[in-house]
Amino acid sequence: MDFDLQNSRPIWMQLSEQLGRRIVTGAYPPGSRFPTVRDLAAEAGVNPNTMQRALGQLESEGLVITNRTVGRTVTEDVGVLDAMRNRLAAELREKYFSEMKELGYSRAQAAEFAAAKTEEET
Amino acid sequence: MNELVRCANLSRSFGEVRALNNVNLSLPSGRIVGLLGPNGSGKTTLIKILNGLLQPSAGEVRIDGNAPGVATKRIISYLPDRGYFPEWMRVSDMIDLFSDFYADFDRAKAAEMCRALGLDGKLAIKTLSKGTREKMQLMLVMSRSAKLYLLDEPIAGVDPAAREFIMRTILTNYSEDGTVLISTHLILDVEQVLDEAVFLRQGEIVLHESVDSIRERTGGSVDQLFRDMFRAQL
Amino acid sequence: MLGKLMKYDLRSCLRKFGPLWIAAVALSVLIGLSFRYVVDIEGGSSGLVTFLLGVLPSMILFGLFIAMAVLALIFVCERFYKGLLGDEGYLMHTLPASAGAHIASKGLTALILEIVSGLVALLSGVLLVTVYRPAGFAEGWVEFWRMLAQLELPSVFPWVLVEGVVLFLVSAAAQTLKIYAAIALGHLAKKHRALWALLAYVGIGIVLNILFGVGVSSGLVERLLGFGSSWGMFTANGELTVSGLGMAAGAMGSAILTEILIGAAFFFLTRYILKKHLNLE
Repeated sequence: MDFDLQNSRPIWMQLSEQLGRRIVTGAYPPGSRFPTVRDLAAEAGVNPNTMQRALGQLESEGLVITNRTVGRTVTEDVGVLDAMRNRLAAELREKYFSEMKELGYSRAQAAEFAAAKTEEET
Repeated sequence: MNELVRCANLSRSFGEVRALNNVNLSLPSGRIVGLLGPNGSGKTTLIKILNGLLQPSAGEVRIDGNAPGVATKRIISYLPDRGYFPEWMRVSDMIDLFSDFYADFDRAKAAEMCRALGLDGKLAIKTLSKGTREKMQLMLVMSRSAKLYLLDEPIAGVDPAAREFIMRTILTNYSEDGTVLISTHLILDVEQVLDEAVFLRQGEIVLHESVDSIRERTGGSVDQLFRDMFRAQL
Repeated sequence: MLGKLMKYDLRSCLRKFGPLWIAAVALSVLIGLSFRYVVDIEGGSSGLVTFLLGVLPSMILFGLFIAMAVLALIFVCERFYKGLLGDEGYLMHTLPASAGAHIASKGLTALILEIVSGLVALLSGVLLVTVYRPAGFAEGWVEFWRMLAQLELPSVFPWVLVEGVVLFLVSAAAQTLKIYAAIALGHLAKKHRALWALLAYVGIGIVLNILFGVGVSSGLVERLLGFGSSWGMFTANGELTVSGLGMAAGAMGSAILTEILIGAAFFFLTRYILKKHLNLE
């Protein structure tokens, strides 16, 4: 999975969001060592200071824990991970509803549509 | 954060032409800074003054507390906007020369970059293509752990694929407590890498701001802001 | 730093002139051999053989010496002009070395080039003669020392000789620095820098001539060199006098001092321009 950086917003924000997504999806499993700033910066093709700032954001959200001896690790706190997952899911839901609204669906209709689609598949 | 570069009321004229006009600039350590401006805006002149290749007409420059001279040349790694190789040398001769003169030159890093760039040490420099020479120059400059890297147009005149490769080479090899000053007019290609942007127009600094702050303030990219500000000249 | 700079300057010099030096020495040995075994100089050989194996190679050797001198002059100018004030200057002037060290490195390399080229020429001559007629050469050598002893030279003579060598070296260095100063002055111009350098060289010559003229007419030179009617180096019947040699020694001492002063002036002028008015294209 590559980083996808847009021009309109600060890069560190986009990086911290995309790294958060990687953590929630298990690309970096709970309790595992988190890659170094330098490696991540090289992977994203950004400046280490920018990546540092993105990691700072992840730390303040509690997704990444800095330990003096071990370095950075991914949190094992299920509560934190679930909260983040919920937040991402909520963002996705809002995005869905807003785009459905553009197509002329009311919120209820959109919800019904999503549920119907699921039944059709199963 | 400690100040690495300071320019105070710096001016330089060439006859009637004012290449730099009252430039005040302060750069801390550990940053990647874009020196951005259209051709002829004074980027190269400023870099040459920082290097000690030119003397200012007025004002003063301090690099790590010293005026440009032997002491500052020890800590500056400079990539000029042209080839500067003695014709008779081989790639390995240039590596020897750099490691002879610069205490911070890392031979292991040079060897590693030569491998990555596909450079053979035994090759005579005059047999290399222009693009290969530029890569070799970059290899030499980035093999130093300098306090200040002055890179004058490192990606001008190469295709977009090579640009990304060059930026990556810079990014993965510069010493992190050092500051990198990259002059260019190709902002889109360097934007992701920059901490700060300095806009130069007709020898004057018209903007010096962090890239994050530009994006938050304008909701757009540095490139976009640059295009808006310099539309008349582009 | 000077040592490191010279390492590279000497290498580029050796690359260019090493083959020439070897060629000159080899050719002189070959000519010596052909004179000894093939060409009978006294007239036994036919004209064509003499020409092909004797005259022609000698002409080539002579041409090689001339070429060596011309190339050395070009090298001295070109290494300074291109090496410090051309594109290569971007490399040299960002090395942690002072302007003085750069000039000294180029200048000492030039001096070494001049000395070695001179020695190679001398060696070629000696080799040619030795190979041609070893016995004759040895005899000549002995004869030379015998004549020298007969002259009963005064004890100051070796000093005069040493002074002569020093004067030669010092003036060679001053000449080189004069070229550098002229090129540096030419660098101050915006365009046609090579042309301006040439004009500066001529100009410096004129200024020095005027200064010398002023020195002579004011009697300064005479006092400095002990020149003029009191010279008295030779007696009426053409023998070297002790007092004359002493004078010559004194005069050369003054000349050495003058050359050093002139050379130093060129050095500092060049250094000033490189430090304060460097403006690479």
